[in-house]
Amino acid sequence: MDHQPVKQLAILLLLTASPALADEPAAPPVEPVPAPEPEPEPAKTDPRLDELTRRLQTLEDELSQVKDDNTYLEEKLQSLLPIAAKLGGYIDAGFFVTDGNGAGTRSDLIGQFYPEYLDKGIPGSWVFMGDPLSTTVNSRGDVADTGESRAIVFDPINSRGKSTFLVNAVNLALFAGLSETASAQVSVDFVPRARDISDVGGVFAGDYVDVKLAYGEWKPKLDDLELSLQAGKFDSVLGFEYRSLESPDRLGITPSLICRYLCGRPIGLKARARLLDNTVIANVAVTNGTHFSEGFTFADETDSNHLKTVAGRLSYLAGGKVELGASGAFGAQDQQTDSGLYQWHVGADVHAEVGDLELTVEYVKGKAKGKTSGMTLAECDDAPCLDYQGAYLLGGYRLTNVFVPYARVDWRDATHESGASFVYISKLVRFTVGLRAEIGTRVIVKAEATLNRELDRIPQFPNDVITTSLVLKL
Amino acid sequence: MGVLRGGALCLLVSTALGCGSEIPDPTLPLLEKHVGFPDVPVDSSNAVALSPAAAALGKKFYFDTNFSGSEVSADMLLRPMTTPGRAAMGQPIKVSCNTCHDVTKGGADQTGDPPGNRVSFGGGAYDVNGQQTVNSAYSQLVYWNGRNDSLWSQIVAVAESHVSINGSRLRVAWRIADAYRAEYQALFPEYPLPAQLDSIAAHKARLEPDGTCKLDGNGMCPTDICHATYGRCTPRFPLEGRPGFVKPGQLPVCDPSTADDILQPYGDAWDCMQLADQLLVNRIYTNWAKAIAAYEATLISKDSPFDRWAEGGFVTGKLGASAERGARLFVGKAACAECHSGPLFMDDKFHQIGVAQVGAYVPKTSECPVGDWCDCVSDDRFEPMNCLPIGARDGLRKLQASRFRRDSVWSDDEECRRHYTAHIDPNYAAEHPDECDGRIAWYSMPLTDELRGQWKTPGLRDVALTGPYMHTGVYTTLREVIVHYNKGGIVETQGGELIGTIDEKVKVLNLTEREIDDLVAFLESLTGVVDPAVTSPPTVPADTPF
Repeated sequence: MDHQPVKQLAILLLLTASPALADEPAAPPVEPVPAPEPEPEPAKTDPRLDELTRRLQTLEDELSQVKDDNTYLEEKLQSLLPIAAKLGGYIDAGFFVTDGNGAGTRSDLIGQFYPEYLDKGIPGSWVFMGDPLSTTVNSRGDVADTGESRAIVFDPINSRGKSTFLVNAVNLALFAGLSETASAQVSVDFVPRARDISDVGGVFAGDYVDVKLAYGEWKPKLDDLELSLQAGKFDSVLGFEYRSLESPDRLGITPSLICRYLCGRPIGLKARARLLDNTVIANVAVTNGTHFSEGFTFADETDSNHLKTVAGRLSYLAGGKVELGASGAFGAQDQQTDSGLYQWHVGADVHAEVGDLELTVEYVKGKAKGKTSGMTLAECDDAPCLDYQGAYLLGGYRLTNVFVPYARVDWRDATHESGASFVYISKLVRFTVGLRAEIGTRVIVKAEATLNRELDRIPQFPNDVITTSLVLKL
Repeated sequence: MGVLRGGALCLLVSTALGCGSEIPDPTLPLLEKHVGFPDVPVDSSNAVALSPAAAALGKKFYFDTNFSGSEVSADMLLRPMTTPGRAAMGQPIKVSCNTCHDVTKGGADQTGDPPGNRVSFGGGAYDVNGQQTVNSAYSQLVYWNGRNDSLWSQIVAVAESHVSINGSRLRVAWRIADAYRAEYQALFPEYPLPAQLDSIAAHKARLEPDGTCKLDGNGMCPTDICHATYGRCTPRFPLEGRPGFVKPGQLPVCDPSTADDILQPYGDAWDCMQLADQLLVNRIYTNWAKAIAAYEATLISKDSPFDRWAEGGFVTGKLGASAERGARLFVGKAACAECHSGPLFMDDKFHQIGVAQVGAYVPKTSECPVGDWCDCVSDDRFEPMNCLPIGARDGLRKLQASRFRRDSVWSDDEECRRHYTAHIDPNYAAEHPDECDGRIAWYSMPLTDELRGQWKTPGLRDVALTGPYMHTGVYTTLREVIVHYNKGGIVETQGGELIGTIDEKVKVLNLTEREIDDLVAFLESLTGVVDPAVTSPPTVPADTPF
């Protein structure tokens, strides 16, 4: 369609319409309206104030946004709290070399040193001199080799006197808050070990999992008392050493010779209270058995009798630097069905931290009376007898932020006898020196050398150890 | 070890204190306790024990199958056997000592013949696996339960056992008279054979078909060769006959109505004999056993690889690495030498080692009720009730009641015989420990319940040849035996009965598989050599038609 005529018509119409407007009468004159007063000019402000105001507004907006976000997160957190948890752990790897065959005992095969046991009808090869746990190589307390030991036969390393690299443990720790006052804690070691799968009767465990801790804790809110109640598999209440069993926590690498009596993780109920402005700590536990460590076969996780073991420790913190503790335990003998067989333990410990110096001294003494049938020459044939005492002194000095040299002296005197099946005569002193290096917050390197010296009639034999540990905290 | 001892550890740790050196290895002194093969011990109860002539004659006896009787197909509890025996019921089993104690195989019953059985078979099924006769002369007591104190008294006992050769002392006497007369007379001139024991053929010619004697021309019983009992004229020396089982203090009574059965298959033939004739036969019977014992005393296995290793001073590598490790374990960790001690690898004692009474013919105490032939309920040391499953508690009781002991009239040990009445007194035994070649303590030993379930420690020389193992024959291989000990006994009771208390030294050993193999290798190194002239089969006289 052609639009040109339409356009022309529109122009015409516009032109004719304008004279008509000019023909209308003129409007009366309008009174002049006073001119409005001009608006005052805004006051001139400080630009910096403006800027601050603007930024304040921005921050207020952001704060409001953050509050909204926080409210949202709090709501989400409340909904997730029952499964909220903290994961942690570490890898502990090392290298060790031992003297001799790696075992801490030797048999008195021909009754050369302790003939009295041959007279009791105990085979000489089953009379063990020395300490089967004197050649520990890591924080778990694993020995390089158990040799021909009969009471302690769990031999996860089985080094046969050879040096070796070793992943001591991969630890996984889990903490979970159950409520405002309740929590649960688990610590598991994954332990990679060799196993001869063709040896169906072998004592090599292969890779295994060691559930070290598994307990629930309740801390009721009390005004003048800090109380903790635990149930499950928890730390020992005896002595001091149990507080630093994990590789990152332990000053050195290996446990003391008396750790076997103090460092177990028993199963039962435990209460801990802090009193008098945290200067007094009381621990009490009722457990299946003793607080012996599991690697030491006198202990057992499950109970075999009805009489439970009651153990406790009372400590006093003097001047915020020196902790004095006394502990004891009494109960039925481990692994015995007869609840009438008793076992007791007492101990004392001192721990001091003065400046960069840290010192710990512990002493223990205990006895499992055992039972002798009288039917054989050998004693303790119905239930094994254990008579022990021991002590250690451990000192560490923080030389720099990185290096902490340390030294320890152990002493142990024990006899463990079980009919004609075995007798262990342990009388020794052990010297340990080492260096701990903390590289950053997650890497710890330790090296340690141990010298065992036999006492009494036990001959000296090669059972010294050099071991190292690289701890990577996860 | 050397590197460390040489310096690194010492330098780092204890230059001042020094490092320990390994304790001198005491293994060699322990191994040396198994060295020094002794001479065969003196057997004062057997005057011909060391006689070459007796050994030569005894060897023939050992290989002669004519002393054995017939198949009874019954076990030690007189129960019918559930597996085939050596022969059809009632047929001659034709076995000799060598059948179950093969001198080329350690003198043991290795064959498991008939196959599949673990206890030994003779006329019936034993309750135990046969023990070896090689080196048996060194044992104080004989048999798994120690029921005999000499080789000859053991032979006397088994020769009439229905599960063994199921023979009879009269059969022995007639076979000797018929086939060994000259040799016997030469060896035992002081005990001439009675004239009535002339020959089996002549004897049979004097009998009626019913076994009674033919009467003389006057219709009388010929009293020189026969005698009249209960109106019957019977031979003074029947071809077969043995005493029935009588309790101590009771005398056998002649009762012709006695029915033949497993234990007394020849009726009352023996019990109806004149006492003087019985004594004559008993003398022949014990002399026969003493000749066999003289032969067994020559069955000595030595010069094994272990012996040669010892003679060479236990040089490393000479026995083989595995066997040498096994030797160390034997005297060390495994503590085998606690019981298998000395050059013979035995302690002449009894132990409960955790082997259950298991097997088709191995009795349990519940199968021996009061009043039965095997009776585990009635129990009195003066009245053996034949409780077979309880081992030494039963065997030593039988020894204490034995009529063929070293202090019996059949023994040649005059000193021991003279004090027979004192041997019930333990104080006397304590004051005269060497009397009766050192066996005296056993005669008055208190029969405590500790002995229940204990069995005698076997020697280990030639042990690789003597399977199956344990008194029940429950294990076929040495490895199984070591696994048994490694687990502290009782590997598998298979529904059997474990009697008594396991010895305090039978404990879990924690041996590895390799260590078990090493012990087997060491035990195999104990296989020695028996003089081939001793083991070669002799020429045995032709069979006698009984």
